[in-house]
Amino acid sequence: MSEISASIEETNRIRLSLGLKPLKVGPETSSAQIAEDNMKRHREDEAKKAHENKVKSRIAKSKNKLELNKTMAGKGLGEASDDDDDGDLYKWTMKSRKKEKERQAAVAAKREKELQELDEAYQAEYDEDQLAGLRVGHDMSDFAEGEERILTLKDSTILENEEEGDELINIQMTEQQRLEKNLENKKKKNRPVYSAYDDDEFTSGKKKNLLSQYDEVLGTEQGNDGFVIGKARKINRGGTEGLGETSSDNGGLTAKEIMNQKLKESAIALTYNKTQQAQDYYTKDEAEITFKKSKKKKKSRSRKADNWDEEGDRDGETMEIERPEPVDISELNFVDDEDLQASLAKARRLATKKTIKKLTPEQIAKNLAESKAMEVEEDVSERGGLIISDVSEFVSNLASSSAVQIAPARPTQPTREDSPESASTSSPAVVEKVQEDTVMEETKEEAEEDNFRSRTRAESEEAEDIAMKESNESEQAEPETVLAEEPLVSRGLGSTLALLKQKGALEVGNAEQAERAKIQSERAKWLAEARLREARLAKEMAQAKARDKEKVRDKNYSIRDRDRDREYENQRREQQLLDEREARMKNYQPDIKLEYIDDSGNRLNTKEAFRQLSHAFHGKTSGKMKTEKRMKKLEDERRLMSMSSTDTPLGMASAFQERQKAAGSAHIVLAVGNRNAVPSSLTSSTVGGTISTLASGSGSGTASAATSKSQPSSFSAPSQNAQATMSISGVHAPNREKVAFGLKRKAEAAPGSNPEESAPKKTRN
Amino acid sequence: MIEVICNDRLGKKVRVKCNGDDTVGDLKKLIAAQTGTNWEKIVLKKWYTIYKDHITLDDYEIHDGMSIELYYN
Repeated sequence: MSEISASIEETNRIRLSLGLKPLKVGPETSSAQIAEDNMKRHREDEAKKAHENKVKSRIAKSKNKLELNKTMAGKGLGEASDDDDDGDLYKWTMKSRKKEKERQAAVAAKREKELQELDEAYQAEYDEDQLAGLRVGHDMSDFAEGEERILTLKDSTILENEEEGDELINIQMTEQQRLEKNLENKKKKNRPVYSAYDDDEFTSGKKKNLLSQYDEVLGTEQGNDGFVIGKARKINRGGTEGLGETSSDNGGLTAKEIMNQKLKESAIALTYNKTQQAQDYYTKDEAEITFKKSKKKKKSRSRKADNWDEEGDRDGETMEIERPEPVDISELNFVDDEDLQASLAKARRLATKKTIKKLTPEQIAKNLAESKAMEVEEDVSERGGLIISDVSEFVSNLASSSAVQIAPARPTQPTREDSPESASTSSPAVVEKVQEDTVMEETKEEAEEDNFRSRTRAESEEAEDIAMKESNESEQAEPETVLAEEPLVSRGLGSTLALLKQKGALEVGNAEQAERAKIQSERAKWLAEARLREARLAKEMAQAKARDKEKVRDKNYSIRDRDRDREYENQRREQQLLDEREARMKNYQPDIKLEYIDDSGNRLNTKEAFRQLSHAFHGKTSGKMKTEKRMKKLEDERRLMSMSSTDTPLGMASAFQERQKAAGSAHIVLAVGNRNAVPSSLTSSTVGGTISTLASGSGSGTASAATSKSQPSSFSAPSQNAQATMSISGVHAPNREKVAFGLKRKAEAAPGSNPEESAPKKTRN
Repeated sequence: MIEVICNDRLGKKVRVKCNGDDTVGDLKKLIAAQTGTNWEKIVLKKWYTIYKDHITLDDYEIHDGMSIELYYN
């Protein structure tokens, strides 16, 4: 491949044709070139500068030399001039002295002139007027008449000066003052702080402050009076302010005079208007004059606290001794309402103290002993002694209630020759008896009964025996009377259970159930044991693991050893586990009962269960008829179950009873005459001779449907016997007897259903 | 004056003499004059940057002896 290229001329031609400027052919003006040029120029410049400097320094050197030479010119020391005083020491001395004098004179003149000027200036402006307004730090009385004192400006810091301004003092006088003060202080130190006479107020003229003995030590210059030059005294700083113009002339007032002055100013007129009546409203001034309420002391609160403290102390002290009540000193200055409050508080405190017993050491010991005894008791109960708790009470109540149910049902006891009192006392004994185990009965029971009574012991024992028998028999034997006395539900759960049992609502467990209960209890026991064993096993395993870990920590214990040991350990454990499981399963008796329940919750027997399974398996069910039949059967069963045991389904027995109650008679008329109908107005008294007893519907052709329907049911139930033995009252006694007889026979015949004997017995007048 | 080598790698390699302040368009015209193609069909590239016509070679920092990719559109 060859490159296409054009020469410069060709390119220029092309460029020309294209309208471009020709190629720049020539030396290359690259940046490197430029830089090089620059560098060159710079170097040249530097060289030039260096040369110039050199030349300049040379010129300067030569100039210096020239100057030096110039100063050297003239006479030297050696060649000093000896034109006038050459070698004449006297002349030279004189000359120099003269010179000196002249100089001093000039200086003195100059100085004098300056001072004079200054003096003149001062004289011009500084006189008495200038002093006006300057404060003097001394009392006017300190300066005696005609005495000359020199006052100087007091030393002070700048700040103080700013604050107070200049102050003039006499140094001697201030020194003296300080000395006096020191002496005073020394004296004061010796003097006791407390003076019995409270007359400082009157002697020194001002009231004492709190801890006033330290005031002057702290502020030494505090009481320093002063005055201002050219002004009246009243403007003076300090305590003599209220004295006014008059006192300015006699500057040195004593304390007593000041006191007098004060008293005069605050004089109070002792005369007052006696006829003036007390007014409801006062002006402010009047109110201030007449009544000043004393401030309430804040003391009460603190005092109360003190009392409480005291109380606490006292409580503490009762631990050791009983001491008499100390007299409260603070009570002495009580004002009326405070007094009341205090006494009330005291009463309250006493009341509370009564309730909260003081603990003496003996009591504490006693309490401790009691608590210990409690603990011991608890321990005993845990071990299995006699426990009396809510639960145990409840359980005992259960047993007793069942006994109570039976005991009054026995009518024999009241008929005995015993007094009713003895009978009543015997019944609790019976109750107790039943509660106890039969084994214990001879010893303990007798002892208890000795306490109760000794007279009727034999009888009570008899009663007990009877009760025992009854309680034993009551479980098997049915109650004799049909309408037995019902135990009250309100007596407790036991009596409720008894009632339910009696009513048949609660099925009494049969042998099978008892067996199952036994098995279940065994199983529960087994389960508990298993759980215990498992826990033990887990514990053992944990221990083994801990041991292993310890072993691992041992350095000498190699990994191989550890593996081997672990394997062995695992095997052993497995074996142990298996053994244990086997041992556990030895007396394992699973409680299994297969129960089949249909959709509606009925329990199925084997046949029904099989049918159900079969139906489920084959995916078909019985036909409509079969299903209906089964449903009907179930319904009948249900109805039978829900039937009342004491009454007919239609409630005939209760109806009869009600009827009897309404009629007020012991019998009831069922039918009269051929029609077997009883008119509603008919009563036993109005029947007269025409009484027909109930007849068996099977015999009489005239029996109505109603009677025929009702009779079989009324005779079917054995419980109806009582009602069925009706006495039919009539006018004729023989008839009545006959009827009764017939009825009896009827009753006897009814179960047998002998048609001949159950022939209608009717009597007619 | 700089010399630029333009190669289309299809058999054309052009050595063009030009000024640094020539635009890319001018260069294209020069190339077109030497190779005989329409200058408007020429695309000058370096990697993925397509040189634009109105910008000078100095601005693109095209120096003496550099090679430029030559494409056509």
